[in-house]
Amino acid sequence: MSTYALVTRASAGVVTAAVRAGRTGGFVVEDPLGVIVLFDPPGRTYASTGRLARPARALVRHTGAPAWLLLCDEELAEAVLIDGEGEWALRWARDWEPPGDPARYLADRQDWDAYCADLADRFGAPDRGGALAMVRNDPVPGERRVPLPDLLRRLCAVFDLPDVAVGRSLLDGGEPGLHDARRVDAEPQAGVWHRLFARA
Amino acid sequence: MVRASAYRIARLADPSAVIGEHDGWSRLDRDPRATGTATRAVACVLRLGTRLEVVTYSPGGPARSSLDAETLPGGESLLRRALTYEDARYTRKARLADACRALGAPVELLACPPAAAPARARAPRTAVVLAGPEALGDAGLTGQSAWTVPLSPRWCLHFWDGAGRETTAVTAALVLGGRRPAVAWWWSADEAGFVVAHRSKVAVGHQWGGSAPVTGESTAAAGRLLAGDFGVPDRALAVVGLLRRTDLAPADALALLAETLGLPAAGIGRESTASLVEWAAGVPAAVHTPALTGVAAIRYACGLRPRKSTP
Repeated sequence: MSTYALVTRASAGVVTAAVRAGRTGGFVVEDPLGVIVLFDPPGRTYASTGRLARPARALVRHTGAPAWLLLCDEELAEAVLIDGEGEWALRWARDWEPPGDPARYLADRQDWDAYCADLADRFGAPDRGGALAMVRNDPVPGERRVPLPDLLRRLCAVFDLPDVAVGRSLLDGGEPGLHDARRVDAEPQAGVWHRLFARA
Repeated sequence: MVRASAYRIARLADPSAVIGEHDGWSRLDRDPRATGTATRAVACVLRLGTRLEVVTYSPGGPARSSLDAETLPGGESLLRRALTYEDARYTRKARLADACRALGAPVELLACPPAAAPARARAPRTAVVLAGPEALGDAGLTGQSAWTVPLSPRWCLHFWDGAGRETTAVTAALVLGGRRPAVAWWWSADEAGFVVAHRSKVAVGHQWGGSAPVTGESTAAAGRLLAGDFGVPDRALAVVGLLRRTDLAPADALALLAETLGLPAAGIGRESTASLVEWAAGVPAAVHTPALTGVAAIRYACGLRPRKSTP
């Protein structure tokens, strides 16, 4: 089950207005732990992270509140923090193997820790950087490897966000699969060019 | 069972009900209706006595049971089989598993896997870099607000002063490591370790605690290199033995290593960032550098003469 969802702390009203003002519709869910947006899939069969993030960027521009875009398939989980300054991704590959050299591993791990601290700071929760840095899927002898969706759930837990967004996507079908999901369509853009393209 | 993680149940309902968790679902020790309502998630009950009973709850909706239970699209026939099929070879476990599949609940919950522990922040960490005396001039290049304290004609101790953003100790060691090696050291309640940088390249590293891939070969290489870099090659075996010890607390092992290497910095493995800053402020030859980036850092490094200043 894939994941293509955005989670934010912005209010449902502001998020709904942002989806309406954007170019991509979707479902908006007002959850007790935050607001979830499931965007409609892009028109093409293949969609890169950049393409999938496009409506999320527009939404963050409109709401002014940082948001996490959660993406996951069988091979890769990705959490992209989007704020007014840009976007920063955390990625976990299913068969990830850390460097075998302790020195390289320790250097990489410190970079990861610092990067996570920076992301937590950007999200407005600098005290959660340490917990975010522990969201990893390094293989541990004798232990089951953490499934990719669980990594995204852990990230949601670190920031007190609704983890029911994980496993939800409109890429596989039209059903949001979330309680109280409300359909929000993007309003047609005004202007000559948009009318011209719409007519075409 | 309820389609909510243990984290979600803990935030919105009674966490003591959770006895297992898998893939965003939780198994409860009680009827899940209240939990499902509180977490706004679908919930179901499977009871297998002489017959299988199935009840599903949707948040805010009515309970549905038996053949009327809410299944995944296309799951009705599988649920019907689980509820009605009679065959001695159709075991109780297989019947329950089929019911789970029909409802969309993970079959793994039947084995009741324990709930995942939430991501726990690691303990506060203190990190320092031991580098050559050039570090007094180059400290600005690390990009962090820091103190650099000369310990001996051969070694300086460089560390973040707690203001602004910290540069990782390994990155600082790579910046400060030139003709002489630089060693990044760090310690906390959970782990302690070091990485040696030679000519701006990571050479060896080791960590007590944590999940670094430590091997016999890596400890031997790290021990020999450390003993050589610190001028005590005759203690190489003792250092290697220390790196392989697992009976010491990580920070204690690091402090013992510093003693074995004859380091003048007795605070390694013991002090906190705050106490190191306090100590540095009282050392006459210590240099404080502000956080600088880009050209400003290079200009600072070129023009700096070791002098005392305050943050």
